[in-house]
Amino acid sequence: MITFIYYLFCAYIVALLIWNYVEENNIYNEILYAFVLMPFLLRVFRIN
Amino acid sequence: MSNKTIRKIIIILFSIIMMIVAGREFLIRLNQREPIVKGPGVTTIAKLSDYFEDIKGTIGDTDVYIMDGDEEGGTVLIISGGHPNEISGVLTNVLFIENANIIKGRVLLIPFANNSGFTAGHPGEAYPMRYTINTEWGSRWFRFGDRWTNPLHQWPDPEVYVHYPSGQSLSGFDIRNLNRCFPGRENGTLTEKVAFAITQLIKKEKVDMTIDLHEAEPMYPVINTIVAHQRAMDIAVFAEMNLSAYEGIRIGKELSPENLHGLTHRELGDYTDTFALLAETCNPIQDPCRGRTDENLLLTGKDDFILKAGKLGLLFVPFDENGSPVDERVGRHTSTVLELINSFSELYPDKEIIISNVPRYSEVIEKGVGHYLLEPEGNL
Ligand SMILES: [Zn+2]
Repeated sequence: MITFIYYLFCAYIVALLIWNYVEENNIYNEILYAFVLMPFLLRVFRIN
Repeated sequence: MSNKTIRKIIIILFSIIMMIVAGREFLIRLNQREPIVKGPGVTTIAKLSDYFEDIKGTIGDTDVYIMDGDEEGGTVLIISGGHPNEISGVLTNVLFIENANIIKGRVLLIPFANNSGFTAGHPGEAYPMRYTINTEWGSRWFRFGDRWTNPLHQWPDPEVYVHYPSGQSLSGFDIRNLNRCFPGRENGTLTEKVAFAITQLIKKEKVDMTIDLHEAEPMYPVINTIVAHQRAMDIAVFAEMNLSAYEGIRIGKELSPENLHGLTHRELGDYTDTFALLAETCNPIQDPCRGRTDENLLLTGKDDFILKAGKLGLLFVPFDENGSPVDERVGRHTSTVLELINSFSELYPDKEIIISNVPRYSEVIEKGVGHYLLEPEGNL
């Protein structure tokens, strides 16, 4: 149950990061979001 | 398309490429399985889930090799990979599986006891994913895992792990340490269920003696030793004497502490009728003061920092320029297992177990572990 909520939470953060990435105008923040996205996406896919 | 959109696409593509590179490695780790050859002495390959249905289809399920002798006798179980980063036990079990000829009694072997731990590396420790043993016909590879169950398979850890059934408090992360989860719990975590399955196997197969193979870092006091449950101490004493008298192997013996719970040598002895023993060799890659962490260190056990620590008197084992090579560690384990079986057979002649064709300490050192590994079919 906790695991399920955890994955939902991860997916939510992924969605927020992608949303922020699309809206962002500053190149450094864009790079930051693209990098921060990686571990969360890998976790949502249950790869790491 | 605006410049901004193109820039965004390039950045996200770059990120996706990096995810694919990293993700590929993680996926390999999750799914790779080394080939193990079914040796001439192996009668059947069972599954741990045959003894506890609940773990069927989970990553906790693992192979149990059963070797029946020509004559009836006692039953011994050899466990390795309870800690997947302690490789000498796994290789020792593989040497038995691929070479042993059982003349009398039965030998059961679980080479990859914590199968989930073999799918992970420890974060921040730079562990290699696998290691290769060279043979006369080519090479064989084996997984190098983490000491703990993969958090992908069991999560989250509590702040404090309360061991069942003793109620002893342990570090939270040790809830994923198989050798802190015995005798196991039927409706517990994955790791507790695996421990429970092993305990069930010991009961159902009426295992007379259980030998759990481990390795430790040179700075850890419990090293190059046999740890015995109080009922199994006689067996350890005889084995220790014979190992030092006939093979020149200096090995200690220790009594399993009554109040240290969750370990095989305590709980399997308390909760089943088996004689529970554990053997440790020296594995420098586990030591926090080690230098470069790679396959070379894992297999040769040579490290300048540990050497320096030894000169400062900080180690619990003799350590020199020769390091602690895997051939020596596996040789120690094969001789220790054979000698424990001999001692058991002498003490309980009606449960005698006789094994031939397994190399001892000096032979493994002389010819190398690779000499005793068979070529898997279809090996390229
Ligand atoms: Zn261990």
